[in-house]
Amino acid sequence: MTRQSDLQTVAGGGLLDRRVFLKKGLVFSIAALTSESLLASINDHHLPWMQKPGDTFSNYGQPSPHERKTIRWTMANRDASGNGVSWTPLHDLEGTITPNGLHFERHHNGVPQIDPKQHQLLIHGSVKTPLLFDMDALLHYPMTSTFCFIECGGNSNAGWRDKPIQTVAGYFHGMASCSEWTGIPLRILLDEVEVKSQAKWIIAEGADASIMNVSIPLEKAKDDCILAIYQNGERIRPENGYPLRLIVPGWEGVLNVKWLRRLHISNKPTMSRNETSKYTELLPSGKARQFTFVMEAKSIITRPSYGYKLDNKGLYQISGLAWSGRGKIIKVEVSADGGKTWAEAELQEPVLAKCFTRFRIPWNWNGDKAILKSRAIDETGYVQPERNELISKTGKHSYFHYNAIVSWEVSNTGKISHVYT
Amino acid sequence: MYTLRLTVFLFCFVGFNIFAKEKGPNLGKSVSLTFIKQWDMDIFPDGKGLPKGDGTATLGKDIYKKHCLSCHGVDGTGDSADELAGANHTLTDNPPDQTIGTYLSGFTTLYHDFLKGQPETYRVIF
Repeated sequence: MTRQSDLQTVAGGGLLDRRVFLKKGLVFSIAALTSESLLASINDHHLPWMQKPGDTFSNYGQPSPHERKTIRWTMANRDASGNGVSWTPLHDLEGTITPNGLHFERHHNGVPQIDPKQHQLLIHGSVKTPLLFDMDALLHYPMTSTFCFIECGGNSNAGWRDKPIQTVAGYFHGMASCSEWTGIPLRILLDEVEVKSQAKWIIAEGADASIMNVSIPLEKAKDDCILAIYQNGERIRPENGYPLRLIVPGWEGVLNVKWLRRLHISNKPTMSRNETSKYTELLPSGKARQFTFVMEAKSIITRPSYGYKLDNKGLYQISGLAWSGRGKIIKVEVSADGGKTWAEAELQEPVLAKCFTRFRIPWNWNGDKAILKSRAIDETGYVQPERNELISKTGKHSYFHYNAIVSWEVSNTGKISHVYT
Repeated sequence: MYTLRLTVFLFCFVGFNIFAKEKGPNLGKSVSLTFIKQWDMDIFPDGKGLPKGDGTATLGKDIYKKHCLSCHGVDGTGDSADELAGANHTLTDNPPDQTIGTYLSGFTTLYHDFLKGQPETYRVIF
């Protein structure tokens, strides 16, 4: 039974105490994606899968055919099909770990099919002993895991547009994914080559057909970077950097160089395309910010969000993701009245630094128009900004590093749209 | 109690240091400078890494037509890829024109991106 005392609101628009989940007897309403049909009533004595043996074993499991709508949405240059992106369908997923086949992609010239026997990593430059490692050698090194998100510096860039984009959450914010990356702490190899004291940068280069390269401060490389060989327990997939990827936790996705073949230890950055033309932010003054590596705190409500429809008044669980490149998320606040009042959401354990954090809060929708928002606060005290705050600081032409609060408007018919407030 | 806490503290401290000093098995192969030169394609803003070369604007025009025009437009004003030239707006206008002349990379960056791709692939680097 739901006691009236359980449903005391803690903020406007019907937000309930986050701990109400722990109490029994609450009946949640159903938020359905509009494209999904409702279940027909079925006489379960005649369900075909209960009448005969099922399929045999499989060498590698695949999602149910009924989940084929849960895919990466891809977008490539029409004249150069290997140059583009694919988005993680955040609106269709739960928990914090992104399935490997749904991790977002950004490629400049297609996915190389690399033979690991022919793949080598060269570390050279401002070092005492330049060294070349093949994959067999690297597999003998001590490994560790880091659970972290990778987010493209250009993620959510539709937010700069003057009109709010009407699309599902994943195709707006899904150039962010989260995995357990396992591999060799980079500092172990840097110790072996003996980096010279004047070195300040490390230029990482990939083995794809664009030979993409980018400069990273050496201090970060020594701190928490990993030469990843495994993603979520299996060898990294080709589209995510097989057989070797540099993981730079909490920093722009572009620095997490896939198909890693070379690390040039240098006294200065190379000023490549990805640190000059791109991944720099033009400010209203006409000057631009450069080397803006850290992905600041962001959050987004994934359910309900654009594409869902609330069929009935009543109790819903709001669920979403928060993350910060500076460390742990310490709090996520949710508003159901467009930001007038806020309530603290429950953070699902474990809460890890530079990692997706799942938040949830119960909400009793009374059937009136409501505007849902979430804002993340990280352990440095940084508070995710409202859109107008962000724009007042950076203007509208930064393109990268859009991390403003996202607002979903629920109409009195339960339809959800993206709005600016 | 105090002793126990101190012991736990010391254990953690020592344990952490052991992790921090974890060593690799030294399985890297040493390489010659010639080998490194073959691999190293980095070019720096001061021109370090640039090969000797020559060229003319006329030659460049043909290369542009063949490899760049389909994405960047006839006069480099942009199509399915970035606008490269012909800025009508400054960087403080709305919208700004971010071209090679106004914003995009300098010469060494561009050269690097052309040089490192194969003829049939370098057109898509941007």
